[in-house]
Amino acid sequence: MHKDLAIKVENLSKVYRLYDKSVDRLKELVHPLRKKYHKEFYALNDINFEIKKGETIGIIGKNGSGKSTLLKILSGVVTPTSGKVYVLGRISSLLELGIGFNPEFTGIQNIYLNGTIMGCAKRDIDDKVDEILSFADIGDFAYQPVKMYSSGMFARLAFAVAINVDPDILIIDEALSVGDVAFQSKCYRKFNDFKKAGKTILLVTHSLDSIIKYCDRGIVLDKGIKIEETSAKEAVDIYKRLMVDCYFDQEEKINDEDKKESQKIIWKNGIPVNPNYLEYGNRKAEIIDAGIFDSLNKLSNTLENGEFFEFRIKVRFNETIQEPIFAYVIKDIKGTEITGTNTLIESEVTGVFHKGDIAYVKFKQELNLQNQSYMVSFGCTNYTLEDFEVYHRLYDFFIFQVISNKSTSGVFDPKSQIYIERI
Amino acid sequence: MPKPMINIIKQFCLFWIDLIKSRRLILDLTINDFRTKYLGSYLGIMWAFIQPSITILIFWFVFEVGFKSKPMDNCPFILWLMAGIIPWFLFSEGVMNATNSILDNSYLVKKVSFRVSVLPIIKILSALIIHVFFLGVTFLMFFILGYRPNVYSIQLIYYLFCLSVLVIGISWATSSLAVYFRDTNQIVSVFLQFGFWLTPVFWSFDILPVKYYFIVRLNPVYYIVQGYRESLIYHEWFWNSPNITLYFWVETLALFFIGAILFKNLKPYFADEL
Repeated sequence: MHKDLAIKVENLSKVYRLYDKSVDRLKELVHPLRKKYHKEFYALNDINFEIKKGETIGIIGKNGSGKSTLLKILSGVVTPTSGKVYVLGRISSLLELGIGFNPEFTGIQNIYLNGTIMGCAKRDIDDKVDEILSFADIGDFAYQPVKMYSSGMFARLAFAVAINVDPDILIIDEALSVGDVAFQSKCYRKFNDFKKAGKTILLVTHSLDSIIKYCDRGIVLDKGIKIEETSAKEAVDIYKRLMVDCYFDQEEKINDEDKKESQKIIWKNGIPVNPNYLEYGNRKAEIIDAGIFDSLNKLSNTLENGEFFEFRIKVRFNETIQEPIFAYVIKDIKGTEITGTNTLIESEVTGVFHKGDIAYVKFKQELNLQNQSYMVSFGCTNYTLEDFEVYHRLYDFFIFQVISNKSTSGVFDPKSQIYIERI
Repeated sequence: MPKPMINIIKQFCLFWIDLIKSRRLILDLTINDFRTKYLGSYLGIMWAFIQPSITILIFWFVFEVGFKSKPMDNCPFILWLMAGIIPWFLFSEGVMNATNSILDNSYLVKKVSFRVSVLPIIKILSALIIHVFFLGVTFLMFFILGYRPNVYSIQLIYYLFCLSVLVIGISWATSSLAVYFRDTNQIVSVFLQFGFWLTPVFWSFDILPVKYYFIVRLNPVYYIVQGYRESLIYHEWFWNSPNITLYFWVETLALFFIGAILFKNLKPYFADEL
């Protein structure tokens, strides 16, 4: 294994044997003809990847996609069915909201118990107890059995212990989601310290923002298969498409003809389209054109802070659809959502569209953003009886620049008016 | 010596070296285990000592005051009984607790990667703490009734070692099976009840016809019960009965390795089953 690597995974698979009844397991063991009583379930199927030292990797996927199993195998708790895992350095892991805590023990006793199991000397733990307790911030609950803790306290203590045993590799599975905002931000600050110290972090979370913010790369899993290993932002986009089941049919649908057709349309030619935009959806309705218009009603990808501007889209309907939802979202370049709205949120009645109809939608608003580049996405979706249906989405379709004559902190300009008096 | 034999001996030695290396972990976890057992009760760890004391008190009252039992081989019955029943207590406590050790510690097995094979050993050690206390009481009673500890008492260390190896072997097998078949601990407790009456704890070996001796000798715990009595009462060295010593060790080591192999093969899937 190369020196720069922290983790290397080769052809990793994990198969669980599912039995209808627990007696079947026994029957299978003693069956003279080796009859199979189990069904095989691939929690992970032929996974390969490498993680370099100092990288922060986000692992995302739907529930049941194999994320937790993967982390358990990396932590050494679960044994893979086949394939190899190489890990260089000490691992500290927080699996499924937990750590080896004995529910009957107090917080302090558990700190010692865990330290011991991780192989720390008692003196080292003595030195760290204060730091752990102050990070966990659980007050007098440190002297209560952990079964009395709220889930937030439990996660806080577990996280504090996991980061304080001085690991080389930190594995966090969903543990942060139960903490409140203050604790989460504290954790993320700690992540940054870890990154600076050249430590490797593996993160499973459903908070896509944190993946974009903290991870260098993302690995997308679906049904035990590695779909993609790419930049954090792209991984999140793929995950979002997976969530609405549009990932796999996307490739067939963006073909050259579609692209050519869209080139003919006027608005899109007026301003450059982001070459890396993503589109997907079942195309019961299609966004055939989109544009950004400034206060002078001209197509533009440069807007001025404070002016009124419009996003306009044209949507062609290929089926009869009642009450479609038209939407836009503005993100910064890192992919963090800044704002966005849709006709449902704004209680606009959109009515019924028949096959062949074209809807012309204008979103008009004042610009309150700071000097930097933003991306805008458009979408046409709907809540049908049972499901959320995506007809067509154009992710990060345009990149536009905002010019502002002042620079407030952050991205939002609150348009403050300031009064000062001497009293 | 044939090669597999050397290999086995090597493995056996490596195991003890490994155990000594991780003594801190084992010690800390034993203390934890001891603590967990009595957690929440007002008298806490005191119970670990109150219970054995009362057991002995009851025995004394029933057999000496109540039944006025006759001395066995010129030794007061209560002393004779205690010398035999104490190692049995350790054996049954150890096996019973260790059988559940993986299930009881599922919160560790599922979340942390560490040497799971020490879990049964920890349960055995925590039974050993109580045993040492029992031994102390026993010595005290022997002393009161006029038996001074002598050089033969040292032999108890040897028998304690024998018992530990035996219990570790059995409990590796039972504890790993218990993860897969939850019925294991019920089965084990039934066997222990049988074992108690099959082992000459309450009755003397001499009441059996000679032709049945071999059946009793099949039972490895017999060697230890007899050994405790030889150390404390009859004052015999274990090397004076080489046949049964050899027999015990063959049997115990076989159990030890069967247990170790079973545990090693089943261990990778513990986390999947718990």
